[in-house]
Amino acid sequence: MTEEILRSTGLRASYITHLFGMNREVKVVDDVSLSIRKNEVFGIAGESGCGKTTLLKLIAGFCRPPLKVQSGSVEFMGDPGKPLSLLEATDEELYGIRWRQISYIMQGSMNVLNPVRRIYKSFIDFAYPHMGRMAEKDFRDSVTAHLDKLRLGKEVLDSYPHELSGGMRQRVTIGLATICSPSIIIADEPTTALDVVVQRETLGLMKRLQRELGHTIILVTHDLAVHANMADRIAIMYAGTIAEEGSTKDIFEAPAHPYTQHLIRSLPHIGDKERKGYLKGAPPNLADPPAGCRFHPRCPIAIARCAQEAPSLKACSGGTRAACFLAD
Amino acid sequence: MGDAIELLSVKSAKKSFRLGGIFSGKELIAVNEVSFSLFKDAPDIFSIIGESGSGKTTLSRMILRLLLPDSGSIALDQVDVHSMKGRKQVLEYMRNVQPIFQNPFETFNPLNRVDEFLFATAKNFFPGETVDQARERAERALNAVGLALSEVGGRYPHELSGGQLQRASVARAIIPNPKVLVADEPVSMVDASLRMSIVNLFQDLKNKLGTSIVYITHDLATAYYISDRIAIIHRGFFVEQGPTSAILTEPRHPYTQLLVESALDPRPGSTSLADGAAATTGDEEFLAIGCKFAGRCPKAMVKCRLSEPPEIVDGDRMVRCYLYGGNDES
Ligand SMILES: Nc1ncnc2c1ncn2[C@@H]1O[C@H](COP(=O)(O)OP(=O)(O)OP(=O)(O)O)[C@@H](O)[C@H]1O
Ligand SMILES: Nc1ncnc2c1ncn2[C@@H]1O[C@H](COP(=O)(O)OP(=O)(O)OP(=O)(O)O)[C@@H](O)[C@H]1O
Ligand SMILES: [Mg+2]
Ligand SMILES: [Mg+2]
Repeated sequence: MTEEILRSTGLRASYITHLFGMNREVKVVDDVSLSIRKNEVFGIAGESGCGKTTLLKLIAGFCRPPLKVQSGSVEFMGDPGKPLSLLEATDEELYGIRWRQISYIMQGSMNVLNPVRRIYKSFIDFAYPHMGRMAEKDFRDSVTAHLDKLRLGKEVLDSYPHELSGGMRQRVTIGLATICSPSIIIADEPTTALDVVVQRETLGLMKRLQRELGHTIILVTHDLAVHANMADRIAIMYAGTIAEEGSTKDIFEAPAHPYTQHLIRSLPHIGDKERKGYLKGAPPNLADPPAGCRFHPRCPIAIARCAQEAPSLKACSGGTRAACFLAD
Repeated sequence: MGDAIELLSVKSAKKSFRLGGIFSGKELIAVNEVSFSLFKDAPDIFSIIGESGSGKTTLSRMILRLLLPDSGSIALDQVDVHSMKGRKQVLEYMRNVQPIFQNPFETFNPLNRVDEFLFATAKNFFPGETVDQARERAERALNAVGLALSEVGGRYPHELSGGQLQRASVARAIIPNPKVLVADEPVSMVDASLRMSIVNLFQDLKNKLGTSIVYITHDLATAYYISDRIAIIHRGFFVEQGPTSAILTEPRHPYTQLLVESALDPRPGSTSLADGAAATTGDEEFLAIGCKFAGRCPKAMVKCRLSEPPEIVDGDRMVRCYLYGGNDES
């Protein structure tokens, strides 16, 4: 088996907020165990609000109030034989691995480049401190060479973010995330705001860079068409839980969980005109999730047991692992 | 549609901006001679598709009267946005033409609770009504988009996910019962199944309430699925326009062809990501003389780089490309 680089075990976390003197607990991540391998593109899919971004914050070591971990662990195997527990790491330890080992492209990050700093200044602000003793002139050269791989000319370094198109800004953030050659790149909806032409180009560049530099990509997007073309393996999230995981091919061709089956069926193809069915009901309110399997109120095949007991992932004949009593 | 009465009419609308930075001093025409109409008694979903920076948001801001065109006209019920006088007329326009923005964080003030904002919207547009009635309007709008007050009640924008917030902003837009919705990339932040439920919702609004929708997106599949007519915008110009299914299944403009080819197919490994798609590098394409697409068009001819191709109309389709005629007699 290929080497593991990041592992989460039984992870449970909630947002705890106070409202009108009452505590409100939004149970966003529920018993999530993932094993992510070196050099793979691991996709995390799931509908809006299911907890994808929250899960990323936890595995990137960005857990801050009101987000609170109840149980479980996240381990990073950057240093062989000496796993680092990201939930227990000190601020210095986390600072030490950020950018150099794990970098995180946040959702909407192309809009958070500092608007009054030229692009090169953002590289100085974020990446330069992690480059050891490199002279600034060498750093500038390496940034220039690096951006060239992303098809960005050197005049970009002296531009302000608003002077660049969305696609260029997103390539800049990808450049920032990869300049220190980290072992893991966590990317949250990196191409969601981009149009089809730029999306395809950006994904192509991400994939090429990954082949050249050999890092792991954890790619979060609700867009299954992106996963279909990028990911080696996929985890499907539903309401804070992992409903199913498997190789991209198996997830698309032999989904075993009724939720995954629904997602694959509802994929739009150009040429479709029929009205697609959608699931009854809405995703649960995570402040008050249903007992048992969180999907059961919307599941077309639920049985009594589903309302009482939460299923755990089990291997299915199609090659995936699904959290469903009825999957086989 | 010769004698149909126009509801919204956009005629040769034009808007330029001065460029800064590397190109400073130059002018960019973000929306260039754009024309289209929506008709009364024939509610329609009109899609506008184009890549980032092609002028879609600028056009939608003009339709919403947040920006006035430099030249050309935009009129609702024959009243031009330029000639509107008085707060009342402007308010009436805004009530009838409601926005759904690309970024729901622009719709909601981060310091206000989402439900209070919805109540305030209801009270603003229906000033005579009671608090309970405002609540009821908010609840009904939320239910229409698959949310409920019990869920968003008491929450601030950052406490909702991007997709939840986008649904809340669709709910906000339908509270005043507008005639036209201008939805600027309303589904770019939501997943496939929710995307379907939002576009199905648009279809219901059109069929049941008679609301016309200007649907701005770069998602070709949903545009194909819900819209009757479509325009492809490139660097400010409508380069192709006509019935959606004809345009997307038999694209004529090389740019439309590129768009259709770039759409990712949701089957594992079906789209080659390796061959670099011809995406642009930025605003300089706006400054090109002649056809703005010529610089990356596989079929560009010399004349394409010299002068702007004219609109070539063929039945209910329009294409702005020399491959289909124009300028040959010289
Ligand atoms: N700071 C917060 N306080 C309270 N609740 C929050 C907070 N941030 C997120 N949530 C809630 O946690 C849940 C998961 O949110 P998250 O942002 O992780 O979803 P997501 O899967 O990334 O969604 P999207 O696809 O829309 O980005 C949502 O129900 C959201 O409302
Ligand atoms: N207020 C402004 N001042 C100067 N230039 C502007 C302004 N607003 C837009 N532009 C420029 O006009 C062009 C069109 O922008 P617009 O936002 O309309 O594009 P868009 O098609 O909506 O793009 P996206 O898909 O990224 O939202 C861009 O090059 C943009 O930089
Ligand atoms: Mg998210
Ligand atoms: Mg826009």
